[in-house]
Amino acid sequence: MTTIKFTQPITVDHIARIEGKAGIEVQIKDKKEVEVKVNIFEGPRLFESIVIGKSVEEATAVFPRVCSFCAAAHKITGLLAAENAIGLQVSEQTAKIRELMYIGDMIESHALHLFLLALPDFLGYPDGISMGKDHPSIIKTALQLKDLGAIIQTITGSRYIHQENALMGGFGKIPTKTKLNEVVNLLRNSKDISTVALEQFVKYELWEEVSSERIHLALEPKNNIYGIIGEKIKATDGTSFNANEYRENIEERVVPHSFAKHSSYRGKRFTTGALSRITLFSSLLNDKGKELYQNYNNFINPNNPLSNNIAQAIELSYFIDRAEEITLEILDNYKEESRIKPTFKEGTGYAVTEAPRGLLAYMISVNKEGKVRKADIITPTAMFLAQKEVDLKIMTESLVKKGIDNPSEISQKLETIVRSYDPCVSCSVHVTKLGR
Amino acid sequence: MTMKTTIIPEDQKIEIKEEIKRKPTIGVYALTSCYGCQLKIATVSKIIEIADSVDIESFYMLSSASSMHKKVDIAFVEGSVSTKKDLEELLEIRKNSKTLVGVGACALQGGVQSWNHGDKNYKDLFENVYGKSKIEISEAIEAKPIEEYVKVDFRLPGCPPEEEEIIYFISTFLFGSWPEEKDYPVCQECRFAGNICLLIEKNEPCLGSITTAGCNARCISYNVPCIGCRGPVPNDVAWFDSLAKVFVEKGFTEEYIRERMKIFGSHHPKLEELLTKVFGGEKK
Repeated sequence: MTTIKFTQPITVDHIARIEGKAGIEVQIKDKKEVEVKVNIFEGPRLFESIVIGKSVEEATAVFPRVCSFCAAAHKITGLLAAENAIGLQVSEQTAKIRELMYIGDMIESHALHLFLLALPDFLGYPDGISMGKDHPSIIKTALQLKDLGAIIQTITGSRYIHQENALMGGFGKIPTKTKLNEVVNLLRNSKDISTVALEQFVKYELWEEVSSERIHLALEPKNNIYGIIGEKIKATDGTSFNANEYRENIEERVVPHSFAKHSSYRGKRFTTGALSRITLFSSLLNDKGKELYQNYNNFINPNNPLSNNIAQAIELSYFIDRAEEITLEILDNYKEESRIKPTFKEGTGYAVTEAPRGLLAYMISVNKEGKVRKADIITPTAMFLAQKEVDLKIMTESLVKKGIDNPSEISQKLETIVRSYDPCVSCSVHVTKLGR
Repeated sequence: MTMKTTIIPEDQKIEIKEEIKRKPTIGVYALTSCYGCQLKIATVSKIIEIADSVDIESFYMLSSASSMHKKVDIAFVEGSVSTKKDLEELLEIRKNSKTLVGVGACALQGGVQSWNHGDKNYKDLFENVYGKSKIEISEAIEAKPIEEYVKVDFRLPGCPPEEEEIIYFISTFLFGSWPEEKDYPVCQECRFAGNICLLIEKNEPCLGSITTAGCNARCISYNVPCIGCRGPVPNDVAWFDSLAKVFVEKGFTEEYIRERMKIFGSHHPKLEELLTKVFGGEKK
């Protein structure tokens, strides 16, 4: 057996192909004791502090700036919490257009992550551009699906990064019937490429070394249709809680190596994301979604983070179908509506939704003039960071046990695991806050 | 008439030829930000064609072959300086680039994370979030535009920037020319777009008149008043005072006016001076 000689720690200063800035640091003592840290050095932006005292309408325009990959998720979750705070009920049509915009974000984010950030590792390229030289059809599909998600967000939200058209009470302008019909056509034309990502990822076996037991948390979707909006969070250990109780159930703590805090659910580390959604709610997928889930069940191991790529790939296909359904529903009951301008009163509102990377929780408290008194946000990346570090430790230990001593080989594998979580480092840092 | 010819020494000739033949090298970097400018650059529809005419040396969001230490002809930098590490990286990027383009609201105006600039003590804001716990990874500092630390050759504004402007910037560099800054407000494009004036006719707090054009007044076309995301108009013609006076007539409070102008304008050197003309004395 080869002896491991690490004269210095394995470090990846800056993990490329993820959203935001993070590094990995691995210390191996006595050839067996492994310590892994995911160093997060993306600078803090203190969103929860800077909105205090500001008008809540301006605050909801600033929240999507937490992260460009999930701007729509932050926009809509912020709006829902702000509206709940003042008891503002939006129209059914507004709720549906928002859901469509959110699914647009899901499609765009999953397409970008799966094809451009994660897949190059498996096919052996440093990036999507060089991968595209040898595999032009894969890149063409990637850009087509990315554009599909971007177009959905643009016709609903005015643009696909920082959607200013989505406001408290509704939209500045609702999408025209013509535009919605265009979206239906685009969605229908995308169906034959909706499983390309899945077909790619199932060519590779899951690395069993990185499997270990974990708790998953996901939002129970409303109306029993697999999706992103709901009221209640369920866990794989059988427990559950309501959205407005999230602060009593999910705790955060400061760690010295990260500007993002680590979270725990009732004292235990946990994970969230596409794999959690599909683990808890696969029975609520449509027929095609269920079929994909059954066919590729060997690749879905709730205890293996690499399965998150597979879960996202199934969702990518599912959400294209779901977006078509919702768009047709909007078209069937289309109404020329203007937004309900908010009337302010004192109150506190909560909202939890399923962002591309997992649970996203907002709490906003306003005074009677509509100024923010308090804001609290927990992002999916902050939630799963602790579990991710454990996975990296387990992987390193098993590689070391096998006698693998090449730091670059180890760090490449660790980076692939990090990417499978699709971490959103900007998110995790920009909204961390002090424990209550 | 006789034509004068200059004889170029042989060694210099070769140097010029190679300079022309070589594709320009480009780096795309991020300090503290939402990664939206990089995402926008990565997803412009012509990116594959553009990628063929340049050598992309670094693009962290997209490629694991990236490095801060490679020399590049043009560096595109998004994000504000918000940690000591950001600052070290910015200095390294500046050192290794011939031309540096500041991209987006964070790099150019400090970003929304500067909303409280000048109002609240940074240490208090930080402790409100992290408590007194020590974070050893790097030292957090108050968010600032990159121009506070390094020379910025060109400014590509927006939160995020517009696709056609990104293509325009890269194209001018490819032609050996350089981009021109837009020095007129959103209102100009808004007239062309045929919108009604949300400020005058609808009493909405629209910042179009002090905000750099380039978005074709998208938000106003959606009945959404301009929030100022492309930053104040350059060359000291962002008339915060005139607009504040109209806002007061429309019934907005001093506090609200200042807060709205500060989302993307807090670091503007003239903001407080001009608001003082309207509201007088020290700010409340």
